[in-house]
Amino acid sequence: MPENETEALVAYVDDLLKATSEDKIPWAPFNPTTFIWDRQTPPEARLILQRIERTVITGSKVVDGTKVAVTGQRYFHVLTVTTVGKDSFSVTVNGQTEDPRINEKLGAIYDSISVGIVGKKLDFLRKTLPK
Amino acid sequence: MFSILAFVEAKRAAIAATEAAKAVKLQSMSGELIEISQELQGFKPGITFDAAKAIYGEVLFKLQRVMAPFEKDSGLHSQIEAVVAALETAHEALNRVLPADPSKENVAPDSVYYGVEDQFSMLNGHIGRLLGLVEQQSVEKRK
Repeated sequence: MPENETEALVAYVDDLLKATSEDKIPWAPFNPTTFIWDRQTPPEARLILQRIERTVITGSKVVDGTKVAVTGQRYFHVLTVTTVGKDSFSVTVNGQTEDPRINEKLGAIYDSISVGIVGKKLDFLRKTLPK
Repeated sequence: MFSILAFVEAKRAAIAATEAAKAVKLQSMSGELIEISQELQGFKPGITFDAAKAIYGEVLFKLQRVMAPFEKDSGLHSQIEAVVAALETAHEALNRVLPADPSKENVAPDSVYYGVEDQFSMLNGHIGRLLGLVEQQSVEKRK
């Protein structure tokens, strides 16, 4: 991706992170590793953010004189934005293939949503306790 | 003297029969592993949670059945353990994409695929390695 497009994407993800941190986006859990936001005001759109665990090569070691790869688990994030309507359009931002900053920022959005949802669940549970 | 020779010969024949039976079992295991590997290739974008769970259940059952007789086999033991560990990892990945509302699963159609693809590929890789070892043993037993 050209540098100016990458910078524009980083800025977009930054704005999304800011809005999420300020609790301006009502993200909802779709499954234990995916959140969804259905934007109701024009342009109507659906945002899907998923955390994915993948095996990656983290280094190498020598075993019996042969160099072998060392693997480990890493989290990547995929953001899919789809417009709703007859001319629907979809963009997928894959944290594994884009600039590493994008994966990092998408991860920060994911963590922010998780913390917010856990907080809301705990608030709800506390309200159900006898006074 | 003749009875000792007859005993040695009978023992040799019994060992040869056991090895031949093992070679047949290994050959049949190899065929089943190829079939299981092909089933795992059913994981494609758009797969639903129920379809993924069905493939996992089928693969789990078949693998446990074909691997059980060779669990203590010195040449296959460690690779069988690797397959079992990969099965557990795949199961954990599947649990991480369990939809909160199954009726709305089509809202994020690739969510299951993205969430389990890596773990099921790794499982298939371990099955491939086990298949290689089984084929190697099968050839050696037939010699």
